[in-house]
Amino acid sequence: MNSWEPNHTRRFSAFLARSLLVVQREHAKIYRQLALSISKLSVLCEVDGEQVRLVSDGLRLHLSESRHSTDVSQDVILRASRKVIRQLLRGELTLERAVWNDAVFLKGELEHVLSFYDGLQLYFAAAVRSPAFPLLLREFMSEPHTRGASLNGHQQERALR
Amino acid sequence: MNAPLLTGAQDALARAIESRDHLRRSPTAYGGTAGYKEWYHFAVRGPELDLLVNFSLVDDLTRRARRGGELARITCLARTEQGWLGDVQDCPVHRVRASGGRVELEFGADRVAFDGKDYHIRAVLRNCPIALDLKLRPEAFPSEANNVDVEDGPCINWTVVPRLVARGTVWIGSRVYELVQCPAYHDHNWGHFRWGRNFAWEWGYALPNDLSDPYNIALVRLTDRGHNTDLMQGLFVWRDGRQVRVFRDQEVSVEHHGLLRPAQPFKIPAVMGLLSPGRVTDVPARYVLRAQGRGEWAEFEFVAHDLAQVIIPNDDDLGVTIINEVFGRMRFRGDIGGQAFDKEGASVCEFLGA
Repeated sequence: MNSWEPNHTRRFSAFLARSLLVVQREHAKIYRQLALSISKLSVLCEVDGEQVRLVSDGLRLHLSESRHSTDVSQDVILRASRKVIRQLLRGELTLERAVWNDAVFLKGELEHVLSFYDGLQLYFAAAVRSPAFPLLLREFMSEPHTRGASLNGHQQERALR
Repeated sequence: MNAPLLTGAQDALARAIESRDHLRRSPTAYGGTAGYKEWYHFAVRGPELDLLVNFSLVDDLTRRARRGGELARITCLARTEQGWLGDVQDCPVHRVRASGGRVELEFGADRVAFDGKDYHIRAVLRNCPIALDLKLRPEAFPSEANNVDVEDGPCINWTVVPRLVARGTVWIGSRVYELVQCPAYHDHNWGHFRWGRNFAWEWGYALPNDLSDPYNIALVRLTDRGHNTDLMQGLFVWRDGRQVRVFRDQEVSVEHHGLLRPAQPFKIPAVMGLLSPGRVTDVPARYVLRAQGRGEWAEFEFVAHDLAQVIIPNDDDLGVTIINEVFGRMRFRGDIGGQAFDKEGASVCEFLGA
């Protein structure tokens, strides 16, 4: 169980907490690998100014609000916006390009950043195998249209006749 | 309008399709082995459009799934002068109707069916501006390959209807494509094979631009995952809608030349790009398959231009399997039964990679 539970579903921290819970429930083995991969690291995630701190004791991940975190107290700092995360999820931007363009800001010692990246890949690997994730993602995206426009009502009606 | 290749043989063709292309269905709900996969795949080549549509139904092996539960998906890729578009769309299982023993599969309003004359395929994607409503009339007898072994897992089964003529409408964004008589291809796979196991395939087809041209081909090569060992290979040649030659195994040799280096491959589902972000592919820039035996020969040369990737999570590890859908130009020539031929045109090949 994550040690921090959200009380506001629209916040990034709430999404992260719920998604980690899904990973833990549906892919316990990957969750353990994830916890191990970032154990001993303190990761500060900042999305649109909202900060959440992620730590692992090697077995479990713990999230906490981090209103006054300073850069020096964190092993890895990740800054991004919801807009950029959505672009990544839609395939409009690669993570590599986002980092190069500073759309995703990553800071930390190389060894720590690599461990964090390994953890991120495990998180993605669990997410794409998880039956509960599509609903979480839809809520996160929470925009009526993705990747350009869908067919409008008239077109869909024609297509279905 | 071109005369159909198989005039007078439509009843026989319909019977062949109904007996070979019907849904086999998962045995899992009745106590059979779990992990079953089955799909119908269609490729249509329009004058300004290439379209791939795949209806798949696989056993749901996720942790909380009930025994016999299934996952239904439509994979759709469209290639126009504006580039690639596509998505993988899930369908809730309560909206799935799959008629074992028939060619009839419905995912809500989306469907594949065969009515004795035409395949009907209809799909509307929710999150991507693609819809299609097509009829495809078979123009060649199907070929079936059962129990094709892969190196370390259950076998793959395959039926191919290698030549059809498509008509109907495709909506992409604000554009409407009215297809009148367009060449198309269809195959059907089923079995208990596991994504990520020690196998890969190379597959392709070639259809004439001119529908009165009597020739078409399909090719398949199954290898280990590292592409080091051939498990089986074959080149299938049809003339006037009937299979006239199958070159197999020892009669076939394959060469890969160079590597295709797309600037940024189009990937679906888009989110899988986070797990497989690379631009590097192991798709050959030029692919040559030569076949020779019993005094007959054929050669298929394919020059790759462009690709899109369908990325699938592996079943037994955290890796992914990449299905590269590769578009290019082909030349197909040879001499079979004393009749020489030499064809050129567009083609699609599929390369399975890690």
